[in-house]
Amino acid sequence: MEELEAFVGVTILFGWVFLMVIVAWLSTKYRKLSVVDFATTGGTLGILTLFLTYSATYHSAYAFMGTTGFIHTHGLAWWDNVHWCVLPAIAFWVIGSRVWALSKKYGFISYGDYVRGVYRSGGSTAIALGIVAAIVGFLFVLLYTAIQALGIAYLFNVISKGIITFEMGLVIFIVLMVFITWLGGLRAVAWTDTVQGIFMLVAYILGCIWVASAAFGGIFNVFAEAAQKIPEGLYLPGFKGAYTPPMWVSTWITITLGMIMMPHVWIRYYAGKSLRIIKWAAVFTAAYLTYLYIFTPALGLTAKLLYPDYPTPDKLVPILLLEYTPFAFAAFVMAGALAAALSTADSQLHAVSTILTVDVYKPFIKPDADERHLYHVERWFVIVLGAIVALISFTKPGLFITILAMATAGTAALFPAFVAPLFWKRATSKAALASAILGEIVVALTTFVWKNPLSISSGAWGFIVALLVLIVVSMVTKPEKSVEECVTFLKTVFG
Amino acid sequence: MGLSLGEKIFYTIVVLAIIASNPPILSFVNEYCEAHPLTWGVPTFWLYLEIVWTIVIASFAIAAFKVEKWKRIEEKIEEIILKKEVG
Repeated sequence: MEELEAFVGVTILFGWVFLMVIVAWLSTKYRKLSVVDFATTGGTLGILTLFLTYSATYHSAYAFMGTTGFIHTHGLAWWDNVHWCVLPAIAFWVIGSRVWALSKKYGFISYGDYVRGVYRSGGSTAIALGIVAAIVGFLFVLLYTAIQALGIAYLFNVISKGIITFEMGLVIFIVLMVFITWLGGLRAVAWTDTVQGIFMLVAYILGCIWVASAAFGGIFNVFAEAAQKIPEGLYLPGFKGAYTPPMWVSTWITITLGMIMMPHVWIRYYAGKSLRIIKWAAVFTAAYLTYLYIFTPALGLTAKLLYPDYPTPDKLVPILLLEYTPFAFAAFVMAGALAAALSTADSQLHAVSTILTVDVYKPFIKPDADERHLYHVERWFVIVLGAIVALISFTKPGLFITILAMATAGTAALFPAFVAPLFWKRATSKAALASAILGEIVVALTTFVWKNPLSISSGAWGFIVALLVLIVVSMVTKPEKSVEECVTFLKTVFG
Repeated sequence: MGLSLGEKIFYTIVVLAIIASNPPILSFVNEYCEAHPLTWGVPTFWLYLEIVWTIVIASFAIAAFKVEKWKRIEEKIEEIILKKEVG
């Protein structure tokens, strides 16, 4: 029996790996050997591909594993999540459409070249800002990528009944992530995301329903049991009393803004074929991100009721699946978790390799490089970064949510500098640079020295300081022509 | 050109949703949730937030269909891109 289950598990795993390789390979039919095509598909994605690549990229291993851990730790304070499910989708339209329009006018294809471009009148200050953005994007996203790999390596081990060791799982996952990205850039990533987005939605919802039904005879029974035994988990401040009003507000502000600013999310603003496609992709994204979690409260509370003192709650999903569902089904759902992790990790790898190529290599190492040369350089970066992710992964950091919050805090501090030139003519490069640097310093201080002062998260502190600095310094520095040009152009189009 | 009526309605709904899903309003709702953890068999706290944000998602979909200004923006940008490509 044990051997049969291991065979089933390994077959499902490798079936999934094989499917991803085939889909990635099929995408190369439309490949052009240019860095624009590799980084953004040249802006050719339709509604289905764009919304599913955005959604699948957005929802990571945290969606499958971390959410249950979150509810286990903080109860339904977890549903602070709803803010960072809906608001980034609206930002996809409000901010993304404007960034898309600027990319059509000025040819932006990356994270740093956007800020360098909109603030170009600032000369060396704009270049420095591009470097800061590239460093922040590189550091935080790479850490985030390693987390995806970690969560998944554990699942490989569970599904294969130990045949695939943790280390082997890590290597398989990283090789697959590198291969997909290397083979077809954003197009291959988006195509595989489309398949994975559908798969993870079906697998996760079925998994939640089955576990809750098998453990307590139905979802409503889980809630009734929770109301009797663990009622404090059904409202704020949650089991540990952590979700006070300041924590509630500052957490969603940090994660919402931070996720909007993640390079792998931002780069998707360039990938839509038209504004109509971006608009509808944004609407579907809001629904997908939110309703993926429709049965998560049932799963999370089931975990808390059955394993109230489990020390590593992020690992409870596979445990519940194996205990309450047939092995083949459990392996199927866990393959959905692999899909969630891979769809985020390959997008992150792609975004960081684009940053290094477009924001570092081209401007500072080989300014006269042509499209084809940059295409090959970016593919090399994919391989090198994959190796770095592997090294980080073997250090095994702790709970997903803690690290996710640290990463998003860092990118949230860039929000004012990136978004101001879309709406405000007075924003200047000096203000943006000061805002980004001081914002990051405050995030570091409130993360490591004075942890979350006044129960407000480090990301919110970083964002508040970055915003104030941007406004004040902009008012005392000379307006810049390039920002005025961008805002005037956007006002002409968007009103 | 300012916000159109459709945009104003949509953004107002978003702002109201943010207000409704945060303190102090959420604190009042939370007090009710302590007394009544379940409503129709599901957690009251979760249900409240789910309803608030479902209204936003539905409004977003309706706005995408109905807001004429968004459609005009789509046409305008197509013209600009086309001009650039032809130029």
